[in-house]
Amino acid sequence: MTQSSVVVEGVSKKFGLSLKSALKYGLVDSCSRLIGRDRDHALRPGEFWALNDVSFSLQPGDALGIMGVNGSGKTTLLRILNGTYSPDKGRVTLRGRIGALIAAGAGFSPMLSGRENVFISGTLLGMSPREIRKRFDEIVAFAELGDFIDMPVRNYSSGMGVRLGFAIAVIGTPEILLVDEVLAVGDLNFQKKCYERIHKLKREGTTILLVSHSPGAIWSVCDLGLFLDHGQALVQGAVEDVVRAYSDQNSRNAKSSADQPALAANGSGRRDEAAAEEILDSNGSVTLKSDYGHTRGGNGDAVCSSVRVLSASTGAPVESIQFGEPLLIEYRYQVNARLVFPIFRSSIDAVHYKFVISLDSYEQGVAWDAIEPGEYVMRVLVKDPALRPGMYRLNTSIASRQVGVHTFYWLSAASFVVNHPRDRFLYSNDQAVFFAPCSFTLRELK
Amino acid sequence: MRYIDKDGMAVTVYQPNERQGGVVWSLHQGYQDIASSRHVIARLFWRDFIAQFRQKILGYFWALLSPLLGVVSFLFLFFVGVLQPGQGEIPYTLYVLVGSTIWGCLPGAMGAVSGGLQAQADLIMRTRIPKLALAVSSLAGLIYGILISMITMTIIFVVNGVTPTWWFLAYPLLVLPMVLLGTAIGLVLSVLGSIARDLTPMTNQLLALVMYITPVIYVHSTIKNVFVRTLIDWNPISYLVDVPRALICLGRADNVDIYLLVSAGTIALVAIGLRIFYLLEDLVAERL
Repeated sequence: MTQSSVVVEGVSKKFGLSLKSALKYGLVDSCSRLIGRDRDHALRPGEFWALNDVSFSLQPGDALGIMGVNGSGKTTLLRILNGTYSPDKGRVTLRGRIGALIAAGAGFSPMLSGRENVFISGTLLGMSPREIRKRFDEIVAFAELGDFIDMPVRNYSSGMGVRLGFAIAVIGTPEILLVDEVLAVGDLNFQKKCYERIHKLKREGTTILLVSHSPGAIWSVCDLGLFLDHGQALVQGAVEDVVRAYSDQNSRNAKSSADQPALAANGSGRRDEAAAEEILDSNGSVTLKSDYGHTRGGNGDAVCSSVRVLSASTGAPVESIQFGEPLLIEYRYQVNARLVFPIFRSSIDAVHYKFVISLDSYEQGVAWDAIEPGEYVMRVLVKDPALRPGMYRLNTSIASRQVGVHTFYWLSAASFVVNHPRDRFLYSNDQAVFFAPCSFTLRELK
Repeated sequence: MRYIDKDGMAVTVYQPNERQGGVVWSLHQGYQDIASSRHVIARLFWRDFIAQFRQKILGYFWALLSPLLGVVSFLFLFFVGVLQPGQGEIPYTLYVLVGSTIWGCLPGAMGAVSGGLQAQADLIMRTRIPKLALAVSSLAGLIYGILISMITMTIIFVVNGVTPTWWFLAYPLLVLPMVLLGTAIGLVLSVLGSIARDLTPMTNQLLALVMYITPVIYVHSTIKNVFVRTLIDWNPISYLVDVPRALICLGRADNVDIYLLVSAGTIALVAIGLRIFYLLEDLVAERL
């Protein structure tokens, strides 16, 4: 049976939250070690787990894509695997020569020529001078530098420098290759060459660990995935499952941010100007701004007090719906004055685009002559919203067919997430909003 | 921990507190790290050396002038009569140049090793080079500086009409204890200094004070104050400066036995410095 080339067993790493705590604990730990006391690995005040009990193993030829939002522990894991950080708990076992493609061009000296830097950088990456000499022509050819190899690196364009750095790193043949976000270098042809080189290494049995925010890069190289969140391995397995989990997590994070617009940036809980637009009167009623340019406003004839997204199957409030699931929205209204020919209208914003869907009662063939004062609940069911996975925001308003302005408007009244489907891999474009089922036919022209 | 398994494959293991060996283990590990990184050390030295002198008017001659410029202020004070270091057998110009060159090995080695990790932070974060190799790679520049300073000293010997003794050829060996002492302090500072950033400047200030109780720019016999004389006598670094200087300039020296004893002590200090370095080195990267 083939031995695992990478075994990570219960690895944890903690850091101080502030420079002050890092200094304090650094000195305490140093003194403890100097007097021969074992380090206490429990979490102390002012510390957090950057990586918490992560385990996995990889066989030769496996490619693992490590995904997670910023601060999830990806880089910490890669640095532990690279020997930069020592784990606080657990154990890492690596079998074979390790190549690190963590920063193409690390250690380049701008005063020296490309040729001189090839020898320096190659040595820093663990190649012997003989090996560098043997592969020198291959490196220069891969970097497409030609005669420029004898020019000082400081005169290189950024693309030339990165190409050379990448070429030095990938021309070696490591048994384990650690890659951190450096595949997107150079022009399209060079990137294609980089991918081909990575795949060649993989076919030859190199175990690859790739950290990237790009689902496309992960998916094209890796067959396995690891999704980290707050230092914990939330999803491990097939790369497509991990890309889905990463994308859904991004959407949930975007929703959390969208749901807290009123919190001031300093985190003190102070309500900002937008939220302070509504002022409660002595009866506890909401007094609205009577002009545009606010989050919520209107003339007070009617107010929408809540907007909720419900599960179409159970009717319970939900934060997210599955891709392809009907979208059920519930509105609660307080009508204070008789509404004549009212129109209820909502729009949906995607992350990158506004008003991608408009839900208008009149457009949908629903009309009322008038609505009397009172409290009302309205549900709107969108049977097939066709929305791709992502975070969406709902805006809502009340208008009248006979009046050219809104009776009430509320921007970002609610938000929801459309989760990735299990049976389909929607990876192509995170800015696209709608999924349109279609058929493809291909025939050769004679 | 790195080893070769039964299939001949290199195996690397990372786990907490893996470098808790004793002084002997530290020496062995230090040797292994430097031996395995010899190409890296050589390349880094070559890179820094070339980059240092390329595109400068004085180019490589700067290295020759540099030791002279270091003693200009003392010579000025001496020739205008402000500095009265006392009369010795060695011409003062030679005395202060040789003394300060020998002394310079201590802060030079300390600064090179202690700053080595900070200066190579980029490589620590992105490559797998042993940290010890990065810390000591800067020492290569110091060794080069020692050889260059021999040329400068030769010129000053000729100018003063003094013929150096054969001990002059052993100059690199004679200043080795100073380099080792600086290395030992630098190893500790390279790790502790990255945790508490003010330790290195504090040590530099302390070293500047120690220089004044070391007969670098004055003659020991001219000190009348008993307390200061006692301090100088008990200062082991005094012997690391005085003895090599006397051997080079006069061919004889007092207190050679103490010099040898202190030299042995510097080797022990390097071993202790290495032990502390390995105990704490993994804390460095987290604080760069």
